[in-house]
Amino acid sequence: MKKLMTGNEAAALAAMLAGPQVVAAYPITPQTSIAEKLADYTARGELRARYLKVESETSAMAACIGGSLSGARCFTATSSQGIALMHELLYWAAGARLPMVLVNVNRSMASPWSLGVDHNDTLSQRDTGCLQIYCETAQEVLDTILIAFSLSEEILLPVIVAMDGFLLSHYTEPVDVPDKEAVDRFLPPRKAEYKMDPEKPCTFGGGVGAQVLYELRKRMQADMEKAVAVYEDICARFEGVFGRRYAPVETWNPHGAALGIIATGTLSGTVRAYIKHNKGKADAGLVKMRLFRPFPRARLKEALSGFERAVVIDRNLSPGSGGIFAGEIRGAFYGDRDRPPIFSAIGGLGGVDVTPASVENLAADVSGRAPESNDIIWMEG
Amino acid sequence: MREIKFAGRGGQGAVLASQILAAAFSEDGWFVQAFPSFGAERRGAPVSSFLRIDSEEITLRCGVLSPDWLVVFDSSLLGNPMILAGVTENTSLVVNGTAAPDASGLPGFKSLYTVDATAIAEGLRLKTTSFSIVNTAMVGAFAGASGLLSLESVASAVGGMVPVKKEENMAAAREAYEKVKEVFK
Amino acid sequence: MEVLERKTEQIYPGSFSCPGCSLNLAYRHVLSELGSNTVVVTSAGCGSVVAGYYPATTSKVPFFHCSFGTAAATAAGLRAGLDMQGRADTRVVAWAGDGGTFDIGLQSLSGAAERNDDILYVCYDNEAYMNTGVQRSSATPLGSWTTTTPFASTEDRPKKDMTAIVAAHGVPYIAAACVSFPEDLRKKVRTAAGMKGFRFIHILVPCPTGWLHAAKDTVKMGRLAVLSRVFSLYEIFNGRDYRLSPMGAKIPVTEYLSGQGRFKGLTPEQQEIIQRDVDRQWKRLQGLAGGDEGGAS
Repeated sequence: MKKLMTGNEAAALAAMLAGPQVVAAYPITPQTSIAEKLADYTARGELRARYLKVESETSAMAACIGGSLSGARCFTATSSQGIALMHELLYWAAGARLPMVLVNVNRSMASPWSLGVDHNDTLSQRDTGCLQIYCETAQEVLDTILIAFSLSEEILLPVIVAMDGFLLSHYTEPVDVPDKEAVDRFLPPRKAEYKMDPEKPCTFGGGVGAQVLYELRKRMQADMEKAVAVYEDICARFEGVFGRRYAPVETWNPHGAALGIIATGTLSGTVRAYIKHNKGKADAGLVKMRLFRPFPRARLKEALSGFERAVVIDRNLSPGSGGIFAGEIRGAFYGDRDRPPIFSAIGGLGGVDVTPASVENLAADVSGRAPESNDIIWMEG
Repeated sequence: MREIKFAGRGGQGAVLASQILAAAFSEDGWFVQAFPSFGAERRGAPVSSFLRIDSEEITLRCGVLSPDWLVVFDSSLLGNPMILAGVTENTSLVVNGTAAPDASGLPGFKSLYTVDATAIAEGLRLKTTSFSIVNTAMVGAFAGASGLLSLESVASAVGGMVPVKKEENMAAAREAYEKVKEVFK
Repeated sequence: MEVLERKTEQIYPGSFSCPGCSLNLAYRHVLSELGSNTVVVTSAGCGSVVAGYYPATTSKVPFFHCSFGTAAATAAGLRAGLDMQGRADTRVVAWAGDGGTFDIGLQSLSGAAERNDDILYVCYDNEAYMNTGVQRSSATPLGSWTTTTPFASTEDRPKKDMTAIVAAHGVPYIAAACVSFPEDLRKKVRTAAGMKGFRFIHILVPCPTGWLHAAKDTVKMGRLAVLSRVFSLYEIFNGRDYRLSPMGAKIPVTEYLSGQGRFKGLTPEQQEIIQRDVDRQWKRLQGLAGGDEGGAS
């Protein structure tokens, strides 16, 4: 059924439909309406969960760890400073192989205080062992959360679903709301193999020797590599039930342009709008990355194989290095004899608008650049 | 694609106005995208909201740079550069006021409509302690001025979305739809 | 009535607050008593936003915006650094809301209190996370609506007794004050300013936006809170010597509760519970203060 809603409303709705039993959340702009909507659903009995109104994000993640250990399905949502406060515990949850879904509404990190969107908050968690999936529309937010629960519970790692603050969390748009009954078919209740159960007592997380830790990390990497295929299988199942298709990387090049613009989050939508309406000059195609962890190396390379050159728009900055996506994307081509020139652009930090005009300027700039150019291209309006 | 900007003061319902129209246009088969201005908002401070409508899916995600329509809930806001940002000779204005506002301070625009939404709201006792609730009248005025929505579509969307005083709010929208008039072209 | 000495303001006009906001009023009173040789740290919340967006600031004294949970620790570090540079006379103030004090800031507050760090910690308490849109905090009173305790399921826990928690750390001075009693508040600031060690002032600041009353009734709500003893005024010396402040004759809580939309969902039964709890706490406070009635204002 089609309804108008914001990304945040779609997230709360998806969380409700997925039927988590433990929800823990602490308010932070621009996530707050998710926490409020879930409180509303719980108060009215539409969501049968224990909702812990915790006193900080560290406790929100700690509560999800506890809840997941009990075998329950768990959900939390946060943003910027909040996910930063969860940092230690994201390593913990991933290391303990605990499924849960965390929705992060992307917002720049202080200092200074800034409410605008950029992706440093989630990207700063890229080494924790949690999966990361980026969304472009409210529909994707809703669908990805459902997929994320399934993925998390199969892979036994937390999944972070990222959506742009304000540009997605607060934009009202049409969303096809799935039936609860269809959701239940797609996502049955969690069946935890390992949990804290007096019938089958185990101890979790005690000290290990070096070799054991090494093995655990190798296993985590192996499971992460498998996770791309698991994600694709779950997306295929999702398409079967709901009719909408998702992939780790998506390409759209209607004009057969030579230049590929690699983007994630709502930037993809603006690039789409540019491609649709550009009058033939500085033409481009879109390569949209959904999955960032695990990094979908093979799918990315397939997507770029149709282009002569590419530019990555990073809505993030690793100071002293550069754009994070660009670094990993270029790294994916290491050792390949044939690799396209991949330029690195940074735009939209702090929520600065990236408009079709700024995309056009970038495309024009990059089309003429020397292939070995390695400077960061700072996007202007 | 058409882009509409609504400007009011925090508490006057500018954000709800964009939501109501989003619902009305969506019912009529348009693709829509609506959003408020961002940042810490305080009661009484200027607040804008935005609506995009199109016959195909709207994928664009950035602010509205030059609105086709600017709907102003409080004529005192016409002096505010933040409110007027992006107004060009292609922008039509709908202003809550009793007479044509002093247009000399305004940049070029395409046409100007006025409606006394405050009087309409007060006639129907649509008030809080601080403000007359003019948003539903302004929604009706926009529909009447632009011709993009029928009276019934707008009234129905108003009725479906206002939290209280459904009948009065629908009446406000209808009255403003009829009474809005073009003052400048 | 005592004539107050005219002190210099330490804030500029133009703060970014809602109409009827009382936290900025409280801040103004506190800072004008402390004077210009003061540095302020404020954590996330209304107090931070109200102080202005770059490039504007309302603060005449040095002012730092810190992360949500760290006001006390940041202030403690500032104090240490200033002391080491021979600036022991400069006052260090942590200015934090109920969220940043009772909840996420509790750990760093406890640390600073336990170490007896020489800072003045002032908590402006509007009883919810107001800046992010009125979500409940552990300062939210029983029966209150907030966006995370909607009318279908209002706040079901009593307000956390923050001064008792700080008192358990044995700090030199704690005061409970209300912005609606400015002379009393200013006197407490002067008392605190004349001491060393960890000093804590808890100020009730009614908020029309979150308490759902008219902007013009803010000061009245504070008066009613105190008169009904929902929020009593007192001081605690060394964590154990209680002294009541003049408050005026006690009135029933219904007079306080009935004026606020956030309590619209209270059943008569809940109101009785609230009256009973208020009476019990007032009796306990009187006992702790050695039976001192507190007199008329």
